Amino acid sequence: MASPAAVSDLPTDHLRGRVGYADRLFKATMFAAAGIVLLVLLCTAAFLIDQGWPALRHYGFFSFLTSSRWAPSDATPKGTHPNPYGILQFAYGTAVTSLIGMVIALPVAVAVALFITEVAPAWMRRPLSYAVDLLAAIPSVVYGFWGIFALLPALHPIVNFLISTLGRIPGVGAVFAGPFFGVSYFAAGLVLAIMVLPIVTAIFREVFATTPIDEKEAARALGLTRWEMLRTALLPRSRSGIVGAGILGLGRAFGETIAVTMVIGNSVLAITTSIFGQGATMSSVIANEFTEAVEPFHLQSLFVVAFWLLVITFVVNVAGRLVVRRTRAGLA
Amino acid sequence: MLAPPRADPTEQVLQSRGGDDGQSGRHVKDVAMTVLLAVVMLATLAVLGWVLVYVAAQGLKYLGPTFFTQNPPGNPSQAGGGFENGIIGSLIIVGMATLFSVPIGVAAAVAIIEYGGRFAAATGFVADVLVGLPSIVIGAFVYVLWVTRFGFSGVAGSIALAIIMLPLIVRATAEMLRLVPVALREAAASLGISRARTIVSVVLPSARAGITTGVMLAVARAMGETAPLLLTALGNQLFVVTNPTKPISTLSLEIFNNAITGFQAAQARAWAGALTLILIVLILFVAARLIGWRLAVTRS
Amino acid sequence: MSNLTDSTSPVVPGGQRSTTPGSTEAGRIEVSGLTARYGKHEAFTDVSIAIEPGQVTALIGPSGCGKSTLLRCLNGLHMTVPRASVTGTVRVAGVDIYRSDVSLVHVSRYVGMVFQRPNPFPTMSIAQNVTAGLRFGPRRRRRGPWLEEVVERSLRQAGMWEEVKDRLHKPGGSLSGGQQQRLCIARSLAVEPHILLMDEPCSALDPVSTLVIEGLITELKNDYTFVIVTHNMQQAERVSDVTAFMTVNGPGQPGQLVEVASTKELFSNPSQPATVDYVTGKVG
Repeated sequence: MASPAAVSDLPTDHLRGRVGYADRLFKATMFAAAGIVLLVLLCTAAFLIDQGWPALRHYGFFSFLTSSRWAPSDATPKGTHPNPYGILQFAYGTAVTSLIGMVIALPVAVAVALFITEVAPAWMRRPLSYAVDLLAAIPSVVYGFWGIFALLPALHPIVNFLISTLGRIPGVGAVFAGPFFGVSYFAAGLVLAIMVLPIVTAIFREVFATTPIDEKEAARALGLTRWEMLRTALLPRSRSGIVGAGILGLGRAFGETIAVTMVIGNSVLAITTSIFGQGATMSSVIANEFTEAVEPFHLQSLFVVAFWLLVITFVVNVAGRLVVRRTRAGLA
Repeated sequence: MLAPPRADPTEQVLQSRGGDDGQSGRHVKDVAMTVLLAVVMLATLAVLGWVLVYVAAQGLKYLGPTFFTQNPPGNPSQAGGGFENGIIGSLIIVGMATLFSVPIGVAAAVAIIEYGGRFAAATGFVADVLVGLPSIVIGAFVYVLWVTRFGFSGVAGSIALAIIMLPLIVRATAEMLRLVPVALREAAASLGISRARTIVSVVLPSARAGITTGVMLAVARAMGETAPLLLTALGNQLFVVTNPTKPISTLSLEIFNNAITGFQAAQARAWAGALTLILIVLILFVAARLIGWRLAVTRS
Repeated sequence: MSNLTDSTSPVVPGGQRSTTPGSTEAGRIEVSGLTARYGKHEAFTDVSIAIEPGQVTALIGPSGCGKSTLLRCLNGLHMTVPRASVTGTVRVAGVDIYRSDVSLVHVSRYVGMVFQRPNPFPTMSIAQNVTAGLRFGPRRRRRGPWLEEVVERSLRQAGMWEEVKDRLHKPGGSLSGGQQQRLCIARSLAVEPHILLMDEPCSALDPVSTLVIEGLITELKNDYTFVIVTHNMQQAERVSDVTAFMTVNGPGQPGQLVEVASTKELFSNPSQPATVDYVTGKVG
């Protein structure tokens, strides 16, 4: 019989080596996996710039950012000026749609998060959070499809009213000018607002939940109403968290592709000043033209777009994470 | 103590009490704000309802058993057919993506939480940033990595989806590992169980339910992804492909391709596909929440 | 017997685990000049104490005096805390456990530990909990009838075989607090340690369970060396043969070992004024 009594008494010299080896191998494997995560980010940047490099060299590094005309059919193997692959209008489209999205989503998200964490009775909180999270679970392609057939028709009367009122104001009017065909920056912004809302709300909920309860109770004990308590004890403390969440939501909106592609109109030739006009974003032009890019430097130029999109979203996300992280550390 | 960085709020409020904005005014304001918050909440729920009901109403017009057993007709303007090719393709591609991303994601989370250190912390931060990376950019990366060498294929699509799922799994797993009590790790150490064994046999099993929840949510996300697949799996609109080295269609690609054709028959198929996709995602979502909820109940 | 290091290590008597460690060096711990740190903070400084086999040694003292840290230094668990370090030596059975060629994994199999809060593995059954150390230890023996023998023997030693023999496959978490703690003791005994460290093992238990555990210690002390940290001076008086008193001058200061004496002596006739103050209840 193997004597269990001897288990810890046998000489362990040869075993020690093996255990140490297995342990180290395991640790190395875990860190290799972590390395893959880092590698993905580095490789993405390196590969994109590598693919875009021929176009960047041919047309010049900054010529992409100084033109707003994207006309692949004008491209020739030899010609370098003017650069037919201007991408300024895409950057503009990305910025405008995301801004519209955030302007709508941020206040709504604050209100929803406040309602869930502070106003709703306890039994309602979990179902309400799930319902809002569910908005994030609906796939992008479904939002785009729904946007075309349900949202756009509903927008027509509202937008036509805005065009006839705001559009008449001298100066600012250009931003709200007609005509309106449905697909537009504005429609894309609205869809983005719905898609970003659950992400931002989730961060707000977390930020609001970190306000110490005794502080809220102290405010209530002073005879403040609930709203006064929220305004004086909760919101000021949460300011940087709200900023961070806003930045992260913006990053998400910048990258959203399919839904935007379906409702923005994909007009690539110039910047459209009116938010009711048609345009394109950095991500939508890639999705739209990638598999049909046959002109000289066309595909390479799409990689230039992808590279800049990567740079922008990277910067925005790092900034947002740092702000949110600092908030958490500050509250802990 | 009640002291936000700027002015003392209690003072402001106490002063305003003496002003023209009397007791009743404060309470009217309080009620008004509460009502406003409730209205915004209702509006948000209404939008959710609008999307779900609209898709369901449109989808039910066409969805039937043959939708799962037939492929789209060669001519998109023709009525009939289904998305069998897309549904099978989605299962293959997402299944492979899950196989790639779960071991790597869980292992990376183990490095971050169980071992720690500067490299691990950097990985944690990069995972956070990767979550925010546009999926189309990841599609472009995999295009360079794979498609330029081996052509459009299901493998390429699943690599792209795996990269999208990876940071989600890392974050969910890390969160769960953080909740495993130190006492369990110490108990294992005091029994002479090595670090690696402790992680595999004690820590990870304790976090299993939470990790499963995270994986299911990542799968749900991958199921709906479309943009990166346009650049990698490409799609195949007409028949079932099970060889992952060939271009494969997915449910999401079929919805996209049929939705933008402009033919009513194709759009009818796309609505049925959208409803199917939402139902799949919904089931994953609810199942994940149920596991998460049971977890929360047993913990408390 | 037990070589914690390779064959060139200091000579330790060979053979099977002795049932009377009192006659050998196997259960002896010798701490000399030990200082433990968390980062830069010193938990205690310059502690020297010899813990004799076959006895129960109690560590008492006010909170923050470093008694738990001292206990965790005796099996190397202290080193699992990030940025923790020690200077000085801890000799277990004559072997310095902090020497670079000694694996702390093996030390923990020689020196078992029971914690303040019962911590059975939640994903394992009662039987699996008992055999965890063997199944996942360095010498893996995953199955076999002998594992069942280990389960029965260890649970009997912990005085709970009769209570649980019909539900060995129920989760460990389904037991009461006192039973869980005895399960943890059984789990430690299953790997056949020579020394058992206990970190306030009864502080989370009700009085009846406390008495059961104390009875267990008295029953097992002929076979194992016990070191027990306790807040409860009556408990130290009831179960221990030798008591070590530690104290600390103020928050953030390192703890110090004040005196070690037979328990009777220390409580009836302490030699140091700080000990007098503590055991008479003036401080702490």
